Amino acid sequence: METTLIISALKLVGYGLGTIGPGVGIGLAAYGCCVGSARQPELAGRLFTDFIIGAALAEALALIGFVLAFIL
Amino acid sequence: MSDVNPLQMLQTPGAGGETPLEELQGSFDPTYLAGFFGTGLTQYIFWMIVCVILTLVVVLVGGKRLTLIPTDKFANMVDYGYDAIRRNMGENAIGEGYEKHMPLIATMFFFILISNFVGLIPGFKTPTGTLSVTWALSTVSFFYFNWQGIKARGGWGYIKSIAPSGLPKVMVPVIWFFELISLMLRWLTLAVRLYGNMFAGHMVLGIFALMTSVFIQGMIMSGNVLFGLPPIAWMLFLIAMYALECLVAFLQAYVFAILTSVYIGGAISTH
Repeated sequence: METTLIISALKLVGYGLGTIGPGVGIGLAAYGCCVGSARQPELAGRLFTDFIIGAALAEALALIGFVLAFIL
Repeated sequence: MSDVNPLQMLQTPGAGGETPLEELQGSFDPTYLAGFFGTGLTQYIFWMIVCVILTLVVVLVGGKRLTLIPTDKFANMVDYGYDAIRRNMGENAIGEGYEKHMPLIATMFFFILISNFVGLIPGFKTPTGTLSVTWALSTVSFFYFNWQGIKARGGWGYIKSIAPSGLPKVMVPVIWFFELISLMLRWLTLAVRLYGNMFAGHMVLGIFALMTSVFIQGMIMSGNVLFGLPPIAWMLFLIAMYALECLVAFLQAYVFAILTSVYIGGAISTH
């Protein structure tokens, strides 16, 4: 009982740690997108598409953590 | 009766032998509404069928009423939505020759958008809140963009194009391998992103609603008016989260559609 509780708690801690990197990454991507489109508003659409791709790549790690927390 | 602890009530079993938290979690499990031949129709699949019909009705009615000079508000709205997808996803993300792929992307966008918003109506279930539906959607998208890539470049050409061109010869196998993993992960991430956002959002809404009701129950049982204050705060949180969920519902449909079109664009671009 005690061991399973510790394991499930550690899964949540691991997932929480796994979200730090993607969180910082997506934050940086959003910062770059905002600054870029403030300086060159005519490129905003293109920058937003690139931002979504970058965010998707960074988010993949968090999603893998989410899946692992479920299946392990 | 001043020793009523509302938080304790979350842990005490109710009439059904389950604690309120377990009951909330259980309401997210797929349950069979009707079973036949060893399989069955879960509530998620039932709502998926409803959403498919709803999408068809919206799009067909919007398309039927379309005129050159827009006077109909509904048709105008659908037209505007399609036009926005066409501009943002077609022209920006796919580039040349995007008209061919618009039917798939627009269908996916409208279906996911309607599914996400249907789930926000109390008493309804969101079909995208289960992994099997999002997995099917991402499988369609994954096979479609690979097939389009193979059609545009040929089988061997597409395999070679996984690694970006202009690399030193020694690095090509290593980079190719990493790019292949990243390509395969698109399959997983497309499905899990949509599912995770929808499931987690609805779980948060459920927990806030549960806290509101538990504190109101505590107020009634203890007769203590002070217990009436937390439900107001929980209710405000709930409304704020609901507004956020409306944004997330739109954003996830948008992200799914734009990622599909970006992947198609990457697979078919000839430079």
